[in-house]
Order: sequence, then structure tokens, then C-alpha cells
Amino acid sequence: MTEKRLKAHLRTGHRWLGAVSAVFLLLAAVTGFLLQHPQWLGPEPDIRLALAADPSDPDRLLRGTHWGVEKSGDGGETWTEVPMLLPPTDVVRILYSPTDARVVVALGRDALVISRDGGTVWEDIPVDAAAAQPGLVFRDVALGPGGRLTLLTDGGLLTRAHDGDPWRWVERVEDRPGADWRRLVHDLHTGHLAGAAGRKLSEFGALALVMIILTGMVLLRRNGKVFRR
Amino acid sequence: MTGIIWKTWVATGWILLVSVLAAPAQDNLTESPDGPEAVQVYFTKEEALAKVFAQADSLWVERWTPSDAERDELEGRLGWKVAEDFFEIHRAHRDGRDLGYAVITEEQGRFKPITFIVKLSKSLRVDLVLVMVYRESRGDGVKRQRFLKQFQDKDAAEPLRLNRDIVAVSGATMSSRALAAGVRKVLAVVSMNYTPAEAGP
Repeated sequence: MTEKRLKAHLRTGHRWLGAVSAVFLLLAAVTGFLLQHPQWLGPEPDIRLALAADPSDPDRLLRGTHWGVEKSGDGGETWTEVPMLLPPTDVVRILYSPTDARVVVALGRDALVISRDGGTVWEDIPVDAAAAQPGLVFRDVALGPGGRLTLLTDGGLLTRAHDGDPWRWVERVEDRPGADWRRLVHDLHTGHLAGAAGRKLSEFGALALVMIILTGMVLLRRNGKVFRR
Repeated sequence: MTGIIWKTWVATGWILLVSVLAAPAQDNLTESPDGPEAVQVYFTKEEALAKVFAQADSLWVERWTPSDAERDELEGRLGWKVAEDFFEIHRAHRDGRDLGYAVITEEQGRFKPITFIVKLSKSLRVDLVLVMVYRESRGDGVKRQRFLKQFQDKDAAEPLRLNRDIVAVSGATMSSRALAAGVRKVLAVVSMNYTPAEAGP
């Protein structure tokens, strides 16, 4: 094989490998861009996450969903959304009080709400910022007699004896091995590390990548002239 | 051909770069409850009322202190406990013509309250929403009309659910949620006190 033929084969191979990898890069850039703007993907799916029955009437059910709380009065045959001014999202737990069936709490990913009339009027239970920390994710809740609440969070266990009492940490998870590295990788990938400007820069990078690929494809279609230069 | 591609490239690069540099800080992931308060006053009360009732020749306030029954009804409509003892509803006329209703309200954002005004037409639909005071260091994208215009023409029957009826500002979910809740509350308050009039000249 002459040197000229070898170079031609290498050039063709390089061009096709480039085209194939461009498809993957294009996919990565476009999906990364869409992850930054999830609203462009349409409404989020309505996932059902929790279920609780009214102890005084087992046909009355409450169901936790991604969007808030739904209720049923016929044992789950039909459901309607419970209207709330500030519904918690991703409701993972609904609990009726063991001593008063009118008292019910619903736990979302970052909010805890309570109703004292069986689920018609709700209010927020503030988990004050002094006790909690920004970005804290709520995982589970326990409701004891007398309104005692115990809250399992990513940062540990919080408790409150009565209405209006301050929350206090029962157990604090200071360090989770590997959590910082995972957070760092996530923040680097999404650009969150540098805040809003970082996110915009990562979007800029994704769009630039799309442009490189598209203009590269145009040049590839022109074939000979450009590649022989 | 190559020249056109090159010029398109350069133009796109500049547009993207300018948009990146002009991007406001909108990241409430790193907001700190202990961070310095960054109070941004966009409109004082007088400025906000002058803006929403631009043509008014008379302005007055009607105060509504709900009775226990009225409070129950309001809370039932909203599905939420109402903390306010009373509501002030601003009214305006021009040449004897009713210009509608405006309520200045406050809702809790991620850490601090957001003050805003909601102006309703006399047919009890949202005309205009303006953020008056924003107190958190990040997430003030909710002040933009691009977000606030989503409330236009909504009435008390609309649920105004976040990311279903109203699209939240990216990176300012809690502030968007607060605005949606406040507008819904104002619609409920005004519709409990006034009946919609036919839209006219």
C-alpha cells in the first residue's frame, strides 16, 4: 500500500469516526441542555408515592403524589386533587394522628403540612432555617400522641414535642462518605458549581458543541474540497 | 459557503456570550438563610398604585376584616390557613368609571417574604402583577413580566398550580410558588367581596 493510499484510508476512517462520535456528542449536548430546562419536556409525570386511610372511615383515603395530595371518598374508586395554596411536592408520607383522626400531616420533599379538619384546610409547619439547613431533603415523618413530630431528613433526625415548639436535632449526620465528591461531580457536570453564570456557561458549551457538529456535518457533505485542503 | 458558515458561527458565539454575561444570578440552591439581606425595592406603594391605576382621578382603600364564617369560607376555597387579620383592597375611578381592584400582598419566598401588587380588572380577572420588594439574594427572576404575564386574565376559578398552569422561573421555584399562591389568594379575597362587572369602555 502506497503512502498516498494509506493517508486516504486514514482520512476516510477519521471522517467516519468523527461523524459517529458527533452523533453521541450531539445527543449528550441536547439532552444536557434539556436537563437544564426540564419544563420543555412537558409536565412531570404524576407519580403516586403514599397512601393513608382515615381511621374513622376506611373509605376515605388520602394519596401523596408528585404534585401534592389527592383524596377519595369511595375507597379509591375515584380521586380528586386536594386544593392547597402551597402544596408540598413529592408527598412521600401521609399520617393521621393516633389520637385525633381530624389531624393529618403530609410530608413532601422539602415541606411538611398539617390539617386539623381531616384534610380540607392545611397549613405549613415551618422547619425553621436555624434548625434545618438549605437544601435539606425530608425523607419520613412520625406523628405521635400530643402532636409530637419526628422528622427524618438527609441531615439527620429532627424532633418537636408540641405545636410551636422549636425543632431540635436528635441525631445529626455530619459527613456522608462520598457525598462531597458526588456533589462536586454533579455540580461540575451541570455548571452549578459557579451558580447561575456557571449554568449559562454549560448551556453555552452545549450549544457550541451542537454548532460545531452541525457545521462539521455541512463541511463533511461538501466532501472533497474542504478535506483535501 | 465556508464564509457564511464562519460568519454564522461568529454571530452565534457573540449572541451566546452576551446572553451568558447578561444572565442574572438565579440560583437558589446556594441561598443561605443567614446570608446578607439583599432588599431590592422595585416599586414603592405609591409607585405601584400609580402604575396599576395609571389613569385614575380618584383612589381609595376598602378594608375587609373577614368574620369567622367568611374566614372559614376563604380558607375552604384556598385549602389553606390564612394568617392575615384583614385585607386592604385599593380601588380607583376615572371620570366615574371603575378601574378595578388592586391588593398589595406578601408571601414567603425561600427564606424571606416577597411583596407584590396584584391588579384585577372589574371583571375580576388579573390585569397586572408587579413585584414591589424582593429580599433574597437570588431568584429575583420572578420580577420579570415574562413570568408574571402568565397570570394575566386568570380568575378565581383557576387553580394556578405551579408547573402545570404556571411555569416556574428556572432556579427560583420557591419564589414562583409564592407569587402563584399570592395571586390566588388575592383572586379569592376580591371575588368574595365584589361581583364581576361586564368589561366595558
